Amino acid sequence: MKLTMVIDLSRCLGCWSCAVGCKLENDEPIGIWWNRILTTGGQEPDTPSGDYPNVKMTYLPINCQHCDNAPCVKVCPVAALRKRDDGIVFLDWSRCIGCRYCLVACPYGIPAFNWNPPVQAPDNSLFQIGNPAVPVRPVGVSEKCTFCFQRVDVGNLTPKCIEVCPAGARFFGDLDDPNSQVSQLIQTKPTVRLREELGTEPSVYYIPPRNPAIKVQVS
Amino acid sequence: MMVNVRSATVLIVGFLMLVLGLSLWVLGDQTDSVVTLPLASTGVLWAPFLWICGIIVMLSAAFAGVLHAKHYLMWLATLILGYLAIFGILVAITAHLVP
Amino acid sequence: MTSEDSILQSVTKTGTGFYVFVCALVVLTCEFLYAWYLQLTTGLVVTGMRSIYNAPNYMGPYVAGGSPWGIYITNFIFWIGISHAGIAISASVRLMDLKKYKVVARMAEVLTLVALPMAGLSIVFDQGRPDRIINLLTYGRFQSPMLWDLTAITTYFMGTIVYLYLSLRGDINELAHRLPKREWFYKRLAMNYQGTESEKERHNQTLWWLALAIVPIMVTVHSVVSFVFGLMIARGGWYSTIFAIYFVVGAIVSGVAAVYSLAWIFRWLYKWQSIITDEVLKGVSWALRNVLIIYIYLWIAEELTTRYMGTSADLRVSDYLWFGPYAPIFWTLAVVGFGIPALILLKPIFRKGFNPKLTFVASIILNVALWVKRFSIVVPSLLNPPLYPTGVYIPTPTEISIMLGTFWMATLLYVLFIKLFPIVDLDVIKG
Repeated sequence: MKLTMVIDLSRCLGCWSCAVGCKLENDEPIGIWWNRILTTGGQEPDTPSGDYPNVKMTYLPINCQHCDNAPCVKVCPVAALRKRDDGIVFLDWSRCIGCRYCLVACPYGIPAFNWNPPVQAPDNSLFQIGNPAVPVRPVGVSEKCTFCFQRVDVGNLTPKCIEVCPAGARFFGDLDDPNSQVSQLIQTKPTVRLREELGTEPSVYYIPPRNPAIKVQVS
Repeated sequence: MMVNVRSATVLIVGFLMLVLGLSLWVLGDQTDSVVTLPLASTGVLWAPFLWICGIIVMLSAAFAGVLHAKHYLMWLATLILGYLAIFGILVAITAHLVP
Repeated sequence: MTSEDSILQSVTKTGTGFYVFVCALVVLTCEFLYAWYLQLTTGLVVTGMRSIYNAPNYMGPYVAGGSPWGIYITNFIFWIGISHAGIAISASVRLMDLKKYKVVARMAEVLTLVALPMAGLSIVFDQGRPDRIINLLTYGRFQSPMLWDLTAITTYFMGTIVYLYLSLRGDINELAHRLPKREWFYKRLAMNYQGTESEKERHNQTLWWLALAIVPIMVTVHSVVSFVFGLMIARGGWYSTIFAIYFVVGAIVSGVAAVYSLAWIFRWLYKWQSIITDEVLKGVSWALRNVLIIYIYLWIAEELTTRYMGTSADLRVSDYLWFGPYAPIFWTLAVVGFGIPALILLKPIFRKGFNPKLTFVASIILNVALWVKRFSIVVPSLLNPPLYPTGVYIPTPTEISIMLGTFWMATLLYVLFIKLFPIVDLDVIKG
């Protein structure tokens, strides 16, 4: 089984629903986002590049790429990062010593770190935010997208971000299964992966935006 | 050059510990396999400490040839337990302070 | 007084200046402890380090991300570099039979002994959860460059302890006779040392083999430290085959410069001009000059490779260093930090005359420059991550206090050694 995600950039609105859904599902504290939407355009978010009227802007939702050849797994000194058989690169929060080598090694800048004791907002005082199957992380550990292992393990549930995207831009499934949606998409549409030349073999594919003038920015 | 028997023995013992520690880790490494929460062990527990002890024993071979057995063992114990104690003390102090 | 008495001054004579110095260090160490306490209880947020990505805060200006590693890791590399002092000198003395330098061998070995724990501590300061560092010994993953670090540094440290004890044993025995008030301490520590010729010969033989074993360890230690960075494909400016040699040569420069500084300081402090002669200092500065030239050559090779046809990630980091916000530091580093010591060290080639004091200044500037150089290797690459805009990293006062703590503690430990054992091998006087 090879869990894969496909994101259709021609549909992405940059609405951050996926990021917010992820944040609630996994009870991420203030300041930490496992799923982010980068603006491929100007330096600041939601700013285009170029001079008016020749401006370009598109959004690039980015989360852990769950690479087959993950640099983070290679460098973790205590094996807190492990690659599961189903393809998920999992970070064990009970073992992480907080050395931040994974933050340094990840070519996509994915892992986030709990610099301060985490503050959840909203917290769980009124009702349970976040899936109780996901442990709350203490200060001093790294955390990142888990492809919602708690949903995947339970049944045929997809990660939360897939479920909440209002534009239907995100797809998830088993690449080893030729009939799954992701397999079909990868076969029929042109897809690209981020920083492929590094050989990390990421499991997240992007369908570029339809306008050929807009390129998926990879530096 | 006259090879001291005691030094040679200690050197070999240390080397075997080193190889054993490394082998146990490699054989037990489950970095690429399925894990469920709570976590499965990866590698044999304490394998890294074993290979480090092997290195310390190898280096102590320098003492084996020039010290009495009693003093040699005292030194060896100090080095190994002292090393562990450094970790232990740091962990004990920080465990009380880190939230 | 005899030469032996002269050397033992450092053990027996303690003036008011000494006590003032130690008190100052203790006060500074307390300040460091408080800063560390703050960091442990509030988390690493007290430092200036931040994650690569910073979410946009629509209620204020956008703050780009930060650097996950900062001055703690720089400090770690620095102390490992300093630790190369011990074996560089000891190896020369024993393996190449350069008896002339035996006079500075012990002060170099003690420097290593003190520098390695400081490097280890710098790493502990950097951990988000230091209460879990035992995981390194239980779950430690050998495939990770950090475990290579742990193994190599432990090996080097243990090797230095063994080496130092063996070479010190004769002097300990000597001190048991000369300082009757402390006889109980030295007698125990000497562990039945007889002082016979055959015993001394066995010690020397063992030390020779030990020195031979420690040389590859020295090369390995800084190579594995370089691999922490040099094997990272993710970062511009890091993924380079030259890193291992680059770091090792840099460490030798650090170590030899530190030995020169120490030798000069002791010579000045205790008026040991006849023991640590101009010849010895000149020799050390000669070695320093040669490794410095090699280091500058490697640095130029690195820069040229990047600027000629580097990847966009590499060029982005290089531009940040050469023309970007970091440029003032970078060029000052090159011209003042390395240029001036290079000129001072090269001068004796062209004009006769060796100036020990000027060379001392050069050695101090060089070590400061190397600290900044390592900072410029670690941080700018992390502040320029591909896919994200350039970040900002400014160390906080708490962070700096903790980092400086390693310097205060190192000095205190070194001073403790000086008061217990002679810093110059007594054999040098006798032989």
